[in-house]
Amino acid sequence: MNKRTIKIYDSTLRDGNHAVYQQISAEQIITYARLADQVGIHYVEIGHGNGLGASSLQVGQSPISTNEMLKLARPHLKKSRMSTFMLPGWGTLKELNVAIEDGVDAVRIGAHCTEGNLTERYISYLAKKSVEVHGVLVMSHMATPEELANQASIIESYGAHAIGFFDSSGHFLPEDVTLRVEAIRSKVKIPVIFHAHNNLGMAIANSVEAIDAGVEIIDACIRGFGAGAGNAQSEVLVAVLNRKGYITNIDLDKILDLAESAKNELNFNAPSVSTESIVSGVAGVFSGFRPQVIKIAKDFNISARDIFYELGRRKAIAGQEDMIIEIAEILRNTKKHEL
Amino acid sequence: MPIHPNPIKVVLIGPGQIGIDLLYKISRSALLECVLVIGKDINGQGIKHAEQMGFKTKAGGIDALIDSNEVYQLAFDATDASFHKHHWDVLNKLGKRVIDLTPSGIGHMIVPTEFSAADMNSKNFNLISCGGQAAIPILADLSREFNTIEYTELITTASSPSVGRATRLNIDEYIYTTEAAIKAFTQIPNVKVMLNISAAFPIAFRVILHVKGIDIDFEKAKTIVLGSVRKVNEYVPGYRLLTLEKLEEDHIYISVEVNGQEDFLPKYAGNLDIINSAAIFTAEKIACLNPDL
Repeated sequence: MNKRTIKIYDSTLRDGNHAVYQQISAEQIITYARLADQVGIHYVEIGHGNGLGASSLQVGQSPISTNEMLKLARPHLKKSRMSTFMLPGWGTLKELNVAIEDGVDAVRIGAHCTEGNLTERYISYLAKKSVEVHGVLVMSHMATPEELANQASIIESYGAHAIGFFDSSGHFLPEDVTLRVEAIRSKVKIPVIFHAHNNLGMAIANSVEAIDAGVEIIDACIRGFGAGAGNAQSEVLVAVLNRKGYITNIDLDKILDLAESAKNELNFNAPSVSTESIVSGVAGVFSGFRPQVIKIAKDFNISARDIFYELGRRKAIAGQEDMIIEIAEILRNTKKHEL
Repeated sequence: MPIHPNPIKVVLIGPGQIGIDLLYKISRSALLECVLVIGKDINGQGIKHAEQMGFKTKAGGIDALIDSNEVYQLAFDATDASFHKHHWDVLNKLGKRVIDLTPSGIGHMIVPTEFSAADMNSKNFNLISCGGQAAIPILADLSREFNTIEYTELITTASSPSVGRATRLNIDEYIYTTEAAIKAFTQIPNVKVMLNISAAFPIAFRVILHVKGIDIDFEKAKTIVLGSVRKVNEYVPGYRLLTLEKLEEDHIYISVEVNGQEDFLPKYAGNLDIINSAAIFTAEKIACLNPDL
């Protein structure tokens, strides 16, 4: 059977930053970049969890900026394409230009799934430079397949080389993914990307479903090291895809070695599907909120689950970590009144 | 219509959603009388609406204003940043003052709570940005009291329908302009501005401030912030303090919400209402202090 080539997009050093509240160190970046490059992973994404320019009190301060991370990693990525991520409103053309100067190969420009036109300026700009640019729609459970396909089409019109949709809260079931891939593919010609999270234990299944439906670039993290309950676990994904006959160009033993190194040398701990992660998945709340929600729940002496349910009800998006505090205050006051 | 004996005469250029909302506010003002509304297209919705409100209108853009013999002291430019430079060149030659509601960044920055008589030396008034108008009153008061503030972060969240395409293509400029303005009004050395656009509908304009510095007496800070909010309330009725927390020893967190007055713009467009309110404040100051110039 003639199966397609699937490109693995490794987000360990970007989504994984969410798992450690943006504290991945310079040494960890250099080591992982060097090891990943030897495995033949197509893209290695690096950055603060929220991308270029995002280091902040609002979403966590990283010890070095995303620009500095890219500079450090560049010499160690000889075969893999070095990639980064940016959200308009958080990073600007300033940071983008420095990344280009420092030799970034690919950039993801992200926007909330209904706000694709926020990417217009940046995608158009990058398309004119020789940088591979992907437009990605995050929190994509908050749009219907049709809406998502329309947004994808808009992003394609700006000159993006690929279009992606993220299950940022790990909310999807496989059928949700199929519908969206099919809808998007009916509207665009460029390759489609899918990014899974594991809040409902569905990351691998959803990723495989996406690929079967026609996705060509699949996001994954070593050991699943990513926000909340983590991402699709790269080494598992490669094992499954190889067995299904897809061409990953990745030797299973090599990626297993990478996983071992990530565990033993780098302390990239495999996330678990914790109770809070299940709730955030069910409620459709961005996985990256987890550390803040847990901390504030503890400080305010209220239930983390209740915070997540309320964040879901209010349709909070990534970047709105401020709502966690507001909700906590309201819940604390409600609790006081009930006593 | 105003009953004050000597309102100053003003002109509105650009009867879009923001301009029409401004007309309602001008109607309420005893110090302002709008003598002409300039639009592009005679059949445009904006001109029609202004006519229905009882205002004299003309189509043909700024050239129509030049051709008219209208007597006025002040113009509101509610068009587009790309048009403003030309509008300013024209109005400056005519000896008129301008309040710029576009993000062109050309003129003299105004924040009502920081207003002083010296501001009247200018002819072109620039209202910075919605984030700037929301944050600077609080940050300026805090930085005057505490000179140890080393860093501030401003994150605004606006409702998707209140953020048009022009704004979306100029997010970087919004960030740079607002950061520069905060530095200019507060002397805080390190400033970071970010923004979110929310599709959860409707939500009021949300303004988050993180303030970092040593030796900031939290109780004193609270009193100051409450005072700043009260001052802003005088011209922005929908400006409300939500949260004021000490997150760490050197880290204060403030959140504010701005609901619009629903003159024409929807309630959730607090980001646009705060600019319009600041524009009216500035115009009324001109009327009081320097009406003939």
